[in-house]
Amino acid sequence: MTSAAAKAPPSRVWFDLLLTAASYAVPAALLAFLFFGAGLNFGFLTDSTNWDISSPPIAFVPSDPYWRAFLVGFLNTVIAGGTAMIFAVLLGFVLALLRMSGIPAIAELVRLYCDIIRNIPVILQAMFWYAVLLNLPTARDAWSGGGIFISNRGLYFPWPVTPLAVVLIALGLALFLLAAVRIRNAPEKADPGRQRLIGAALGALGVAAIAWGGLRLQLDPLISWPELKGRNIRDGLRMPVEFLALVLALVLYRAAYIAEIFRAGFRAVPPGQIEAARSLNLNAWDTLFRIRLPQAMVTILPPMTSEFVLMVKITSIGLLVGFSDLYSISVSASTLTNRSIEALLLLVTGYLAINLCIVTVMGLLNRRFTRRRER
Amino acid sequence: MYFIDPLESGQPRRMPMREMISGASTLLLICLAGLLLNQLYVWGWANSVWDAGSAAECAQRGTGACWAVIRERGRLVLFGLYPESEQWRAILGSGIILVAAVLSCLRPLQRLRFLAPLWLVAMVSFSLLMSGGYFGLTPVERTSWGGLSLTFYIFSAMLMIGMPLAVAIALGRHSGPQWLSIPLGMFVDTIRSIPLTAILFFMALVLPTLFASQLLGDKLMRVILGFSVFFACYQSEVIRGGLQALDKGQVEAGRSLGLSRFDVTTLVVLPQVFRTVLPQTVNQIVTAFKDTSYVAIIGFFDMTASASAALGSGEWAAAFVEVYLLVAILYLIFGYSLSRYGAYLERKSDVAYTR
Repeated sequence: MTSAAAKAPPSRVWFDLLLTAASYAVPAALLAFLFFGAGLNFGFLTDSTNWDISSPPIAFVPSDPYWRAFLVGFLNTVIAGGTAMIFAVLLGFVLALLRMSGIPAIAELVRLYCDIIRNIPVILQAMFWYAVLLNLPTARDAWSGGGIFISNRGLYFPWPVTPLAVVLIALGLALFLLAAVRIRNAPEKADPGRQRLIGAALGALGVAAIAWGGLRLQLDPLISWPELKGRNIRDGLRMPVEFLALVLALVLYRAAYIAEIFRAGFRAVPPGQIEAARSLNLNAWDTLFRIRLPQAMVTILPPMTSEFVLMVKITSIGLLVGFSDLYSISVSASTLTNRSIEALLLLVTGYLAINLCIVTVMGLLNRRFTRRRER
Repeated sequence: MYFIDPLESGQPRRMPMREMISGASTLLLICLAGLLLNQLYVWGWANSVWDAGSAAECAQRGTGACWAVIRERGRLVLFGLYPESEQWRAILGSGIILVAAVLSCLRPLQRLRFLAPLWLVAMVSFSLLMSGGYFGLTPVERTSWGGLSLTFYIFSAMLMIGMPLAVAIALGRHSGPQWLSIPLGMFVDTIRSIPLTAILFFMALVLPTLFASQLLGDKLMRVILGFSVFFACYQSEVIRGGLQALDKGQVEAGRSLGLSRFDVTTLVVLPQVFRTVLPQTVNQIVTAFKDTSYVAIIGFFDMTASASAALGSGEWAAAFVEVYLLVAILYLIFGYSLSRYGAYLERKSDVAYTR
């Protein structure tokens, strides 16, 4: 390519340069047209919406401005996508293990499940689960057990009264553990002094997090338990049926694909590794989690990244099951204010931001695992 | 469990744990499957109701499936609001598309000079049949198309526009000049990182505010164009993979034989590329088929949206399992046969490579 360019006459080089500049100018002109020509105006974001959003993750009242509605939609998308990712990975992992269990009946059953679930549109699945959940018993006859209630209004479960405090304390304890491991392992490392210093810093951070959490903690009561009061279930955390239908459909659907990713990853680990682990008398658990999974990660992470990005994109079908995700908020905002371009730009920016975060985090993870293998 | 030792060392041998678990769980699963099938039979056949006026009446007559809903509302799922007296046209049109789809799966017929006219004829005859106005057919508004026939229409129109577009994008990115390949790359990456719903949103709601409506054609056409662009961006990546995998010597050999660049591309490059990427292409097509259900989100009544519309909130709402089951089975038939076909192609190409 470069040699050809070097041989080309100067006029040709200039021509190419000009065309390249033009090719950048076209999208730039389009953007300029959008901003100035089409009279792009985000002023409506500070107007009040006058509509209600059912069970928002942050407080929302009809007098709140549009930007807050968009924020609610964004958070809903992030929460639904994140929850679906976690459970889909867990289910996918279990499905992959079952498929490779060597028990023909179970392997065939998992294959059948994957074949069926993959060929039904996720929208249809979400609609189906929504209808199922709406046909559950009412709050008065809700199914309950272990402090968890399931009714046609959603899933209720015990939840800390001060979630931030609990998260902070958990984070602090995790940091503390990490610090302890680092300091314990320091003598084996090449730079024990530096390792100890990092460990001490992590420990200090942990203490700070626990202290901060402790200050925010309300001890009375620590956890709010859902309970039946009159015709409703009160307290606890409610996951509305709209959210449940979307997440359930997404998890069941994408787990069938994630299982395949895990399986391909496990198959890429040389069988000699497993034989070596066996001959070292490692048990099945250790062979799986210390030998096979870390090595499979190198193969698993790249397709898993696109899987996560795809899952966040699929949450945009929430509108069809009445879930107020970023897409449905954008549609409502654009029809009510006639500001469809602005709504679309916010929508696209939101998804690009989430996807960028996923790609960055997974890229860091990927680098970590590939480096470990090279060492 | 003890067995006779095959080595005859006198020691009884214990059956390995693994085999015991395997045997026990297989037995258990077979029993469970039998129970489940029996339940399904009792629900779906023995106790089912085939004749009733509402879901409540169904529940009175029997405890099983309420297949009466299919009799009453099944038409909606298959053909939407298409007039009942003209229904044969929708059936015939869908049949033509199906035949074209089956013909395109036959290996000897997978040539551009056959596929292009085939799909052109299929689409034109489908459109003529469905919209009418010619040959004494009563005109039917496009807004009343729906159900399976709309799904078929969107699907085949998407492929017809999307596939050539995908080839063009892939060629432009792979062997085009820099001023073409860079913006194309940016375009493809942008489309691939936003959800399909955002593109449909753009096509259905934003475009009419930007340009005069007479320039744009109707909403369905715009939405199909959106689907096609989305499909083309994903498919172009598949084709680009094939282009990169192609041996450089092929192009050089073609050029040295005196073929023009165009001839090299159409006669040497693309046939080989399509042969290598056929399995992934079939996967993309399966995904595209499922993705047609996204039109439900902007208010078209394809098979998925018709299912929930058929249930409504009225007398049949309680019979949702039966309707969703029917629609799921329809999707499953097409999707599963296509993906089996893809798997078959993959096996076949593996054999070709190992030979």
